[in-house]
Parts: sequence; structure tokens; C-alpha cells
Amino acid sequence: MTADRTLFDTTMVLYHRSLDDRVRQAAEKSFVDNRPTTISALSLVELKGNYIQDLVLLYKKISTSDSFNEAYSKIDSTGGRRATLMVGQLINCLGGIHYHVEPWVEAKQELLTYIDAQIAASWDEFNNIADYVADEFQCTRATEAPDDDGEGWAVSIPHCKRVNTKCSIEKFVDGFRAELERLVSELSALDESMLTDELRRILAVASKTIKSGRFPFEGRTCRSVADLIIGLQSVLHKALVSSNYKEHQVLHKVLNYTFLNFPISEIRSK
Amino acid sequence: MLDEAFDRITDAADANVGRSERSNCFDEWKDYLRLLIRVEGNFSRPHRVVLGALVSATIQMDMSNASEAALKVFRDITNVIRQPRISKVERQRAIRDLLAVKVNVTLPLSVQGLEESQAKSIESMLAALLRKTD
Repeated sequence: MTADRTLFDTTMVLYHRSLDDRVRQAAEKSFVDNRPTTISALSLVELKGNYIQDLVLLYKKISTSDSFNEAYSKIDSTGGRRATLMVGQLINCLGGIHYHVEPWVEAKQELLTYIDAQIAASWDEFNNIADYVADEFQCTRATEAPDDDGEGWAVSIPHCKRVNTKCSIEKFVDGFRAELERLVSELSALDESMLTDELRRILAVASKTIKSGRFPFEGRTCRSVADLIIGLQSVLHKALVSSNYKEHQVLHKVLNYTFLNFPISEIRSK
Repeated sequence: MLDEAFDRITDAADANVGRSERSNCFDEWKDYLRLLIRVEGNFSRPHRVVLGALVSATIQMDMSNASEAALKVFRDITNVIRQPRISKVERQRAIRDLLAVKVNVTLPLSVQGLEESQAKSIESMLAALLRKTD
């Protein structure tokens, strides 16, 4: 039991690195005001699966392009708007409209150097953003840092199987059996319009857990119901700070933890 | 150029050097590193990671925001880049040393929380860059 610590969810870590000053400063303040702080080990896996994967995509597309236009086109068509905005933010940091994309050989080398450093540093920085990393279930995937094999970054996240996983997530979830039963009952009774995609997945996984008597951790289950896992961890902590209002306003009442909403829309409108 | 950069950060980190000179040396050190990133073609990948971390950490930094401890770390890491080879352990240590002196190495690249008007502004900037290179 670590009742003195406030848990921050994955998006809070990303807000901490937001380009928007209002969002970034509010997130930084929240981390300072709620010490001692902790993030979930599962958040590290989520950050690797999203933020760091996006950086690797930028790296690959830029390194294989012969011009800025080609790199932009590849990033836009494969990584979508999120990846395009990410490279835009990087260029913004380097001078924005005044950035010299020509000669491309030099610009390419510069962009790749920054991205290389961001991939290497992000993992360490995410690990150090809070005072602690909460890992009640000894997540195997959270111990697998991005690795540079000399040729490129290895950042893929293996599907969890018995043979490659030593975590205790089944035992951890099993400790909340009564809460899961309550959760299934409450979510099943909710109006369909109240159910987000994540809550639907949580209902399906919680129902399956109760029926089979074990948490079906195989594959990508933990990441698909991250709000549930982090919600269960929050029961052991002082409070949870999150902007996932729709999910945690339901979960915190049933699972019985303190939920501190990070009002992202309100912060952005200031 | 790397030796020049090292000389500049050595002076910037030296408390016996005058304040104006230290500040100018700090700015010149940053300029050298940004130039090196673009023109030095012989760096290994670990060299680039360490150099990129150093430049990312100081891109928005003025001498007035740099602690004495941070300046010494910048000097020591610049010296690491002068080595012909950098091991994985040295690369990791460089990043951890930066974090240890409370320097942000990661740039604000997260799209999470970005307002639509800001997103549109970034897209306009990219569109203008694309037009410039057409």
C-alpha cells in the first residue's frame, strides 16, 4: 500500500511534454503540487507503443527520403496527422518557417540527430518524470527499453505470452475480484451512450475474467484496458490524476479511488 | 570545430572567467554544436545521440538559466563527443547526467493536448516550407 502517492496516468506524461505552454505548465504544476508522485509501469509501455513508435516512424521516413517533400509525403501518408504534427513541432523548435530544409543532406542529418536523441532520452525521462514507478504486477514489457542494435531502433512491443512474460498481472487483478464483479454489474446497467470504446473493452475483459477465473493477459490486453489497470492501481494510492474523465468518472465510483480530473478543455480555453 | 566547441564550454563553465565572456562562450558553444550537427558527416550513431541530447537540452537555454553543475555536465559531455568511440554505457550515462542536473532533454513534441488552432498553425508552417522547396 502506497497511500501517500498520487498516480498520474499516461496522458499526463504526454501533457508534460506538450508544445502548448498552458497545457505543459498546468501538467508540470500538477506534478509539483501532488508530490510524492508516481506513474504506472503500464504507462511506460503505452508511451513506448505510441510516442516512441511515432518518433521511430519519423526517423525511418526521413532517413529514407531524398528531399524534405518526400519525407513529408511519406510521414503524412503512413503516420497520419499525429506524426505530421510531431515533425512540424520538431521543426518549430528548430526555427519554424526560418528552418533551412535545404540543403536536404544537412537538414536530414540534423533532424535525424534530434530524433535519435529524443528516442534515447524519452525512456529515461519518462522513468524519471515522477518520484516513483508503480509496478505492483512486475510488468515485463515495462523493463524493455528501446534498444539501438547499431542498425536502427528496436521498439516493437511483443505480444504477451506465458513464455515471454514473468509478470503477476493475473494475481494482481485477482485481488480485485469483488470490485470487478461490481464493475461488470454497473457497466452493464449503464446507458449505451455513456459507454466509451474503452469502457466497452473493460466490460468485455472484466466479464471474461470473472467467467474464466483469470485475467486474460495474453496479447495486448493490458494496453487495451489501461484505464482499468491504472484504476485498480489507484485503489492502492492516494489519488489518480487523469484527463480521461468519461472513463474515470465511472470507474472511480465503483472501484473506490479518488479521481482528480485534469480539465484539459478548460486549461486550453484560458 | 569540436575542439573549439569544447574550449568554449570549458570557459563558460569556468567561474574564474568574467560573466560576459562566459555568456558569450556559452552561446558560441551552442552555435558550434548546431553547426556540427548539420555538417559533420563522420559521427557514429552514439555520437549523434549524445550530441542531439546535448543540443536538445540547451536549445531554449540561456546562460542565465544554466546552473554551475549543469555547465560542468555540458563540458564533460562535449568532451565525450571528442572521443573516437562512444559506448552504449557512455551514451546512457550522458543522458542520465543531463537528467541528474534537472535539464529537460526531451523536446515538446507531444501532440496530446494540442489545440486545433495550434495544429493548423503548424500545418501552415509545414505547407510554407514545402512551397519554399518546390
